[in-house]
Amino acid sequence: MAVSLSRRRLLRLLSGAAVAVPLLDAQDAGAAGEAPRRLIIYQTPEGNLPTLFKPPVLAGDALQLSTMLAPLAAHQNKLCVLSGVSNRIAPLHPMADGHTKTGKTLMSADVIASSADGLSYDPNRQPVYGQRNMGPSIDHALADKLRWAAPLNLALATSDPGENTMFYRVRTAASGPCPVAPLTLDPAPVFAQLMQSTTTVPPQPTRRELLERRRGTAIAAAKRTFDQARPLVSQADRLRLEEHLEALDELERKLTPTPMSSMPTSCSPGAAPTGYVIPTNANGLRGLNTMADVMIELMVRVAACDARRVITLQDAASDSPPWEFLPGGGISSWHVEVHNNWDNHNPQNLRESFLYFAATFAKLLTKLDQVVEPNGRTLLDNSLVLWISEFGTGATHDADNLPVVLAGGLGDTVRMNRHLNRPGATTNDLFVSILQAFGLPDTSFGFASATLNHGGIGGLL
Amino acid sequence: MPGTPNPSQPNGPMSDCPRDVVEAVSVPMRRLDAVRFQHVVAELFPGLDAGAAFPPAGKGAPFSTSSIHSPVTAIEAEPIAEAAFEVALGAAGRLPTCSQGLAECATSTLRPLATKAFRRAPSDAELTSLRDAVLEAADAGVPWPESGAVGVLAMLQTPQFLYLSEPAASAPFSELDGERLAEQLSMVLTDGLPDDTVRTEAAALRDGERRRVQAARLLATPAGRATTKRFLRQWLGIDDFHSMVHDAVTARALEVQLDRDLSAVLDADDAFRSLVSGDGTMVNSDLQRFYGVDAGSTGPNDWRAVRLAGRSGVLTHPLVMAKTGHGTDGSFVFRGLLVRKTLLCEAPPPPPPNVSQSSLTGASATLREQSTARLGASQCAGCHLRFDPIGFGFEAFDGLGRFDAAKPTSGTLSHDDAALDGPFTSVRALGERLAQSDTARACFVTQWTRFALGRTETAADRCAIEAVSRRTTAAARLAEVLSTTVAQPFFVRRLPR
Repeated sequence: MAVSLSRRRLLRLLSGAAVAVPLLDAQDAGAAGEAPRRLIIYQTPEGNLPTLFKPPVLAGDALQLSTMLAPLAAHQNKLCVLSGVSNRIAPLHPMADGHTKTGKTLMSADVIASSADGLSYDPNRQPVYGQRNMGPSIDHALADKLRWAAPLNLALATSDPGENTMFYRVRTAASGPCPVAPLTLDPAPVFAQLMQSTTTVPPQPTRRELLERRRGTAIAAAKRTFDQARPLVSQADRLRLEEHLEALDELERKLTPTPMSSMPTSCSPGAAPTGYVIPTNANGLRGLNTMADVMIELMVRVAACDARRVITLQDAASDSPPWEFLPGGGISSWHVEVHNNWDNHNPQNLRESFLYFAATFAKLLTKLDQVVEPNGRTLLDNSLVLWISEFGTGATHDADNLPVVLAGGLGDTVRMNRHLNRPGATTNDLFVSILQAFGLPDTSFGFASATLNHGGIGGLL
Repeated sequence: MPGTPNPSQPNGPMSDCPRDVVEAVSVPMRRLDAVRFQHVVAELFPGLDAGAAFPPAGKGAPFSTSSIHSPVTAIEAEPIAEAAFEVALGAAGRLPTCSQGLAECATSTLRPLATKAFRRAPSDAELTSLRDAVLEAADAGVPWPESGAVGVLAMLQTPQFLYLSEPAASAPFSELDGERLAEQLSMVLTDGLPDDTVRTEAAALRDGERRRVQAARLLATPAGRATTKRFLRQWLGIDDFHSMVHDAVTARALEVQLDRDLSAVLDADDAFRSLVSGDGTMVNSDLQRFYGVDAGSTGPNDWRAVRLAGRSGVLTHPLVMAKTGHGTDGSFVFRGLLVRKTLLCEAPPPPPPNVSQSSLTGASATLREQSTARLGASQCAGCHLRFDPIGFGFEAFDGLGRFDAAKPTSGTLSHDDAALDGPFTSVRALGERLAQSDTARACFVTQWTRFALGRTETAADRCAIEAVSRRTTAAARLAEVLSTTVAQPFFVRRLPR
């Protein structure tokens, strides 16, 4: 009789030590075989370039990636792009600030408490800045409904985003608003909290072991140099190079790790990786690009080790300089750039920046897709990953037609490689569909209005 | 007919070439052999032992540098990866500490290493590929310097490192640039990277006289002498040869003796003669017992000069005789082929697959009886008449290389070259005839060009090689022969492939 190991047991065996206490039990792993299901959300600020972002509408919901989605080409088979999804709560928000209206309501699809006592919504009253949201954000709602540990809410920012958060915990009092979910900027404490163990510390890998694990990386790099070698040799020698390249392909295949050992990170307890301390740049600010890479690494590690099943990353750096990758050494404010460049019809910086977001999302997907789980599928396959922004068009504070991309498919629960053009759909519908994808019976989410809730995104599930 | 030129054999006697042939050749990409891999690694990481995992050239390779015998298929890729891995592992402890950003560390560390390893400055794209390997390793949690070693591991598996390659030539021919010439000159003559002088001289190396001067200088260095000896051992078929017929003590002593013999060849005024003729050598106490002579040696480290009966230079060294023997017996065929193939550059066909000696004679037949049967069989005689009569002259040398004066020593070499043709009374007499022969001397130069170019001649460049051979046969000292060869136009000019 075959013996089936739980994920947790397998992790213990692989790590050679007891895994950290906060890890979840595998017994509620769900429908996708032994692998737990996860929700991962990546939010980027200031919308996108709608005309360049929206894929063409094709027969059979076929997906053809748009200009702004080009960095995701490698993952097309694991993408579902949604068009026409709007945040219709934003106009109901009584505050005048276009960013607050949209940002505070994006993830909750609910209104802000504005009554005199701050416990309920009064459409005729202006709320005080920072007043709490009436409902939880989708991440906390899902975790609460499935009785999972509270989500891990990470942020990309050069300083504490404070009230500039889009995530709200479930209410703790019988009535009243939902508390703000604090955003975490420092990956090292998260590692300490979620990954460290008070039990046995496994031995550090030897130099040979470290190098052994990266043989494939080296071969892949050597293979890339063939592109430079070919033009330098004669036609006859090129045939030999091709033979050599095939040999490296075969060697690389041999080195492909068996499931689980391909995890890019270890679940073993130990000190946080040195890269988790984000270096500061010349202005004394932490580099956002580097920080994004580290946060992605942490997200994948936490998910792979089943330390949390709901993880969010909010890019809360709307007003933070600089974007190091832009020509000329960056910009002073992404927020100002969106407004000014749009008005000046000079979207080059915008295009570069929005493509950066897409590339960062692609990096997250790549890392998730490198982790093979006990059911033979990757971490990405077993997860539902949402990329969303609070605006359709940031320059006009327009919360209609948000850029929305789903990835992974949650173990084939959501069919991928599609473009669903659904004019009239709302964020309420999107979040209902997410709850349903996780097997919950919900038919509405957020602000309880029949005009906002249509039972989910048609045809998504 | 024995000795008749065979037009289908590009290596056969050459007489139909125009005197004004364009001296350009085509040269294939050549993979580093194990020794060159070790030498380059030693220059990249001084003191690091590259180990012995690097794959040798395939079976039947005339030289370890033979391009066609040194592909990288799945069979070779794995041991190359293993050899690279061990080097990278050792290199990790030799990489500089990283006090900058990782990308900067990777670039600043790998650039000078790749410049040596590739024998030229790496392109930005090449360097980026290596650097990215470091960054990917770091992304996966591998700290510096181990992540840097991943970049080294990648570098050692690139074609830029593993192959000596040349840019595609255009018609009628192209000339190599100074950087490639410096690489070729150093690798061919010293099995290593260009030294400072060659690098400085690189731009001038298209000039034949400048090449000759540099070649002569390199050949006099310890590395140059070692490489020349390596060529000579491969030419005689005894590089990496482990005798199964000598006891361990004798085998070790014979190795030392061979090295001393080859040193003497390098220092001789007429190198080719000392290779194939002459009775002088050195023995220690172990070899005194082996040869049955008394040269006055008192121990294994006490080497004394001696003249050995029957000996004819390195040609009859016991290791050569063991390689061309059948166990403790000699072999007329193998020793005849040694002369035909190694010394006269002929290419006899392989034996037909459906013929066996046992079908001609009984198992107890003597070597002479076996040969008589071969020469009497019509299906065998056509070829064996070219080998066996030469081998008869080696009959006094058994499979261990010991000389028995009581045995016959005469044989016959049939050849179109009158200086070679005819019966001989001993191997030493044959050696003297070879030493005087332009054909044999030209063949020696041809063999060296095979070692240098990594291939045998093709119809396209046979005449160019012949022109080189003609021009260099007068040289006497080995360093003169090789440096004169290197100075010829063929070393620079390349035909399109």
